Amino acid sequence: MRRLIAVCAAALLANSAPGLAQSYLTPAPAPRSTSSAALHAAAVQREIVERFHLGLSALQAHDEGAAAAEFSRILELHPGEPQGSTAAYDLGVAQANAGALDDAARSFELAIERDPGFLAAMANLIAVDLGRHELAQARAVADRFVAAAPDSARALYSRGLAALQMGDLGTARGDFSKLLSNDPQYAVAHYDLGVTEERENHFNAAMREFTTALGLAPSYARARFAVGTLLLREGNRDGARIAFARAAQDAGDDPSLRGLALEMRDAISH
Amino acid sequence: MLTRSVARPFLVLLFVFATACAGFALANAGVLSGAGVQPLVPSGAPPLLGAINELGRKGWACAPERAAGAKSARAAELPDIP
Repeated sequence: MRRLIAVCAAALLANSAPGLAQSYLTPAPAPRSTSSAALHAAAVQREIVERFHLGLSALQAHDEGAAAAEFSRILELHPGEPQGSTAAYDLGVAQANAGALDDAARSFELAIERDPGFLAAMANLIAVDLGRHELAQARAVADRFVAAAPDSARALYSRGLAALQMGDLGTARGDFSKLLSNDPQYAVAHYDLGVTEERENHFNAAMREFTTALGLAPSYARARFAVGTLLLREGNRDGARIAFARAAQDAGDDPSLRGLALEMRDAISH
Repeated sequence: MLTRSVARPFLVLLFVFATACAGFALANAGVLSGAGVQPLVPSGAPPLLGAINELGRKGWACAPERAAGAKSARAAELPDIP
């Protein structure tokens, strides 16, 4: 019996070994050349790998300056692909985390230049461009992102946001609707679709989206505030006052929204 | 003479009433237009995807690249309800 258990365990381990092996990095091969050029290349490659490890550790420790220095040095070593685009991408992450958005945008652009199908770099470049209010740039990258990954939730959400902020309401509606057809439970997209409808004066459709968002997330303060503004527009002052009061109550982490909701509630009361 | 003495307080009262009505109307208009003055704000930009190791974006282990292409909001690491 014991022998049978041992055989089964051995078979199980043997089957899972390839899966476990994928958890570890492939060790660098020992140099098999005495050529100085090959030895130099191997040394450079070892330095690149070591600097990646140092940079990623620094990022984990929130030491963005040290991380950026490591990834910059990797780029100076002229790595091939995928390490070149990856170093540029990681440099962009470090710079964005440090608040250097212009530098981060340049790094993500470099990553995409070196690897035109790099979806994560496109996603981060759009996030940075939205953060620095470069809407046209964000939109251009978002168009590429959607073309490369038409069902990507991030691509649709990002382009929808850029389009909404630029006033291209047709594209915004199409992107948020497609995102919701793939993931109907995503309350934030219902809210943004509601904002899109409200900007086109489709108030019934907007109200439907905001109430759907609230059905999915009852403490969604921003959606509750939006319902209040639509009720106020309809002349339902009591309903609006209740909605603003509830929005203020739920907006714990957003002091500006809380202040605005209280202001609206009090303006209706008096 | 009598007509003038009666008419003056009446006109003053009428003026005060009209002013109060106008003030009330303006106050309400302010509230109603407040909804228009404060446009609804879209959600914020998505958070950045994380760093990638030296093996690059291709392959099953690259979480940021998988998130970038994911179909669902959660897998894509999109913002949750603020």
